[in-house]
Amino acid sequence: MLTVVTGGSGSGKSELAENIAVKSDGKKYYIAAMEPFGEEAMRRIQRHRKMRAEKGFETIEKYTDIDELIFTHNDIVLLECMSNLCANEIFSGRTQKNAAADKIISGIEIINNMVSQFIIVTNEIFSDGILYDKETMEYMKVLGEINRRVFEFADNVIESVYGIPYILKGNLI
Amino acid sequence: MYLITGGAYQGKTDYTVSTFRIDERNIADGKTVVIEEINKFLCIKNFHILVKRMINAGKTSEEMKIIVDSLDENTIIITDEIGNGIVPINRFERNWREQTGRLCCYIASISRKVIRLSGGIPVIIKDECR
Repeated sequence: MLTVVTGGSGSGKSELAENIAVKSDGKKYYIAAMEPFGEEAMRRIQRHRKMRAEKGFETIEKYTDIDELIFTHNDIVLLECMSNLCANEIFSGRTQKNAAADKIISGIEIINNMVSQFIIVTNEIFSDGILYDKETMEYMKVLGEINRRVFEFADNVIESVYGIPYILKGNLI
Repeated sequence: MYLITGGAYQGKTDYTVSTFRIDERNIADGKTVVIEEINKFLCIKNFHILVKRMINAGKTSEEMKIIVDSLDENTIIITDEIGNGIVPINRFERNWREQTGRLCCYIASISRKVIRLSGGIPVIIKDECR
């Protein structure tokens, strides 16, 4: 079962995704894709760690190549966040821009086939109407493509609007 | 509390005036209202700008929560949804988006209704009155 939780900054999407994950029985893993660059990132990561601590997740730091991870069929896996994973794949220089979407989608499919619940947090970064530099626009294009492709085969797609789940597809599990 | 949200220029204020039958003169504007006087109003628009002004006035997130708690339980908060873009490079802008989001998550959690306007169409996100 694949569930995607999307939302903007401060939309409460992480907490919503975690609350979905804790409803299911099984060993819970958290794939952290955010690389801790600088003090502010450290603070964000600590905030997320604290939120997860009580919820019984084991954290796996994986900034690229999620297809290398191994799980079993009873596991519940939460990936946070697609926007970081996408940026890491593109900007690490290890993946060609036009191959990043295919690579991430394939990684998602592999994990989804391995586990009982796969929950992905992604990011709504597309609605500020600002024309950014070429690199940023290309990043937005790749993330937009990934979101569209994942939403297509996901069982549930939920947008967090200030912590309130708004269902775009499927159900709130 | 009632939370009305959505992008800029989506008809949030018009919807509020017609649905809640509020005289537009009784709506406080987050751009101009005196921060200490917001609890005199039953409706506040441009709440996201009010958050920016509160941050500029040195209010912490806890203090802003206390201000929200001082509002009447029937208060209608109208806010632009501002988090759906690229994370700003500017530290203040980044903090403002984050703080507005967190505070609105709190308001949504204590609201009876959360309504999001898209091109003038209201989408009921939360309704405890049903």
